[in-house]
Amino acid sequence: MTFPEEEVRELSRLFPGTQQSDEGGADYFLLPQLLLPAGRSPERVDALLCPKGRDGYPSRLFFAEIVASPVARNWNGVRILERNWYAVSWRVREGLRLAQMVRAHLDALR
Amino acid sequence: MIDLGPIDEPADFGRPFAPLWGRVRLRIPRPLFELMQADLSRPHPFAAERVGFLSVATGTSDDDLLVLAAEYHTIPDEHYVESRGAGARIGSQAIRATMQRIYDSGRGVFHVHMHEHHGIPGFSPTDSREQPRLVASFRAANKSIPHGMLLLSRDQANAWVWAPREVEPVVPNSISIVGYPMSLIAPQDDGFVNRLRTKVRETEALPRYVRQTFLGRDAQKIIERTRIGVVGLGGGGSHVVQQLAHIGFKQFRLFDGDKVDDSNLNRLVGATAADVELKTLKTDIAQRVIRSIAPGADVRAFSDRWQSNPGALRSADVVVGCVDSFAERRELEVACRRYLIAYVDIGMDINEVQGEAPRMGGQVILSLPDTMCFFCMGFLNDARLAKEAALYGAAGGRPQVIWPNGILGSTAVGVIMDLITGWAGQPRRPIYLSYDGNANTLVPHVRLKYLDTTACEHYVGTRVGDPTFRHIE
Repeated sequence: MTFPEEEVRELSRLFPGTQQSDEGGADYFLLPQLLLPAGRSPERVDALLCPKGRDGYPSRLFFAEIVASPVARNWNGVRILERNWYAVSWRVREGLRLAQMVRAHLDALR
Repeated sequence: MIDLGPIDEPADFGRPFAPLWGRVRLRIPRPLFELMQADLSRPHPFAAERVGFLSVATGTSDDDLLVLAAEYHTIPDEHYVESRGAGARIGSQAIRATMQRIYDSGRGVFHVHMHEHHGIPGFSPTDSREQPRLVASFRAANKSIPHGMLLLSRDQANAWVWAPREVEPVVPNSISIVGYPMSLIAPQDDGFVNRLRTKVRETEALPRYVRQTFLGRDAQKIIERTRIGVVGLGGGGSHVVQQLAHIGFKQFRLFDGDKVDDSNLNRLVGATAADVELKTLKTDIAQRVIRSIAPGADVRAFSDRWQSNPGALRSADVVVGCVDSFAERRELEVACRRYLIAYVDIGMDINEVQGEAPRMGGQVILSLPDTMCFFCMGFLNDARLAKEAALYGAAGGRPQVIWPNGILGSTAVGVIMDLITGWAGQPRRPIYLSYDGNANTLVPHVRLKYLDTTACEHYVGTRVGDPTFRHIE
């Protein structure tokens, strides 16, 4: 799967150190030490963006650890690219640019 | 045998030497193994034999360095150079292209050639003198990845591997050709020097296994050297480990985080009422069952999810998945594809519909690298995974009974036995068996009739080993 080059560049500019990989036919962007919304614990965590559909969600953002937030969320664990990740059940709308997707998923932690 | 073109010869090479046995497992998908054989068997306009290069990825495991065959590169006819006294001489162009590939891909390279006979091939004095010089060049390009030399025969293989940053090569403790049938080659056990010792051991072991000698002359040796991972030690997994221990398997990696409760006693082989009182771990029960049959077995049990101990799973040659959810099956298959492990999945379910008899169904599926995966076979699909995700993976508490567990577990063992020994002489075909517990039948799944390919479009054969990421500039 290819993504518009300007979207990938924008993602990389906003989230320095972004890396790309794929597994089982799905593409992923690794966002090292992603800064989380203020007051969350931890403050930064590695995150993995899955921009295309997975498990019935149009896109997903996985975190390397469970993030404490004021609103209790239902966290689930998955294993992707030989690493354990966690995600909340959070649906964002389709048609977003890659960077917008990340922002929209982070709203789940606000 | 290869006669090298002009390259710098390091001072420590240029002599034949005997490498040490090493903790390296080399895995090659059977389709790739056969592709190399086909290429190397082709006559060349003037060279007596052909050579090729195999790109390899690495994997980390608890026990050994995993060296995983990823991609074969043939050498064009015009890159051979006429030479007297050498089976094959390749020009600098082919070597430069290979060096460039090492730089570009970050993957190790093995020099490959073939001896046209059966059995474990041995490197000739010329091979062991000349090929290390070539490998030295590969190591100069990148020392942090393994390189080596691979020798094929018509049915076996041998190799020397230079592990990262090691100066001397080692012979892998296993070379597996992963496919149907699966070959598990242990060059150190099968080499000429050890044949007599092995023969004595086989004779000693004979009484226990005298009723299963139809599996093949070397079957017991293969069984002993096959490392099995079992994920999930409930109803299905408990049957699997018990049977494997009886057959003579000696190496187990077990994964289950659960303790026995009263509701398990209707089906969990080896569990007792006392275990319920003591809240015994399922891994402890499996170990107890195995060790009561095979006291000396190498059993490593993890009372946790396999995802917390991935290195132990990767070291297995065959994994049996007895898990509840589709998501877990996907994760296991991904890991097995990545590390070139044969994966056998079993599962059952009972659906109760108002006004009808409950429907009992199940499956046994064999997933092998470079062949159809669960998605190709239609066992997994996005809708099924989405439906399960909507329930947050809740799969516990569903009806389970012992007899379908036994049928499916036994069938999984049967699939493994044929896979590693080839005793049944079955044609190569996908294995997706469908169980109907109401009719008491286990037959090839109807979907197989409508699949017109055995290739996998989801897992690319070159994507093996520890994951790699591309930095975005």
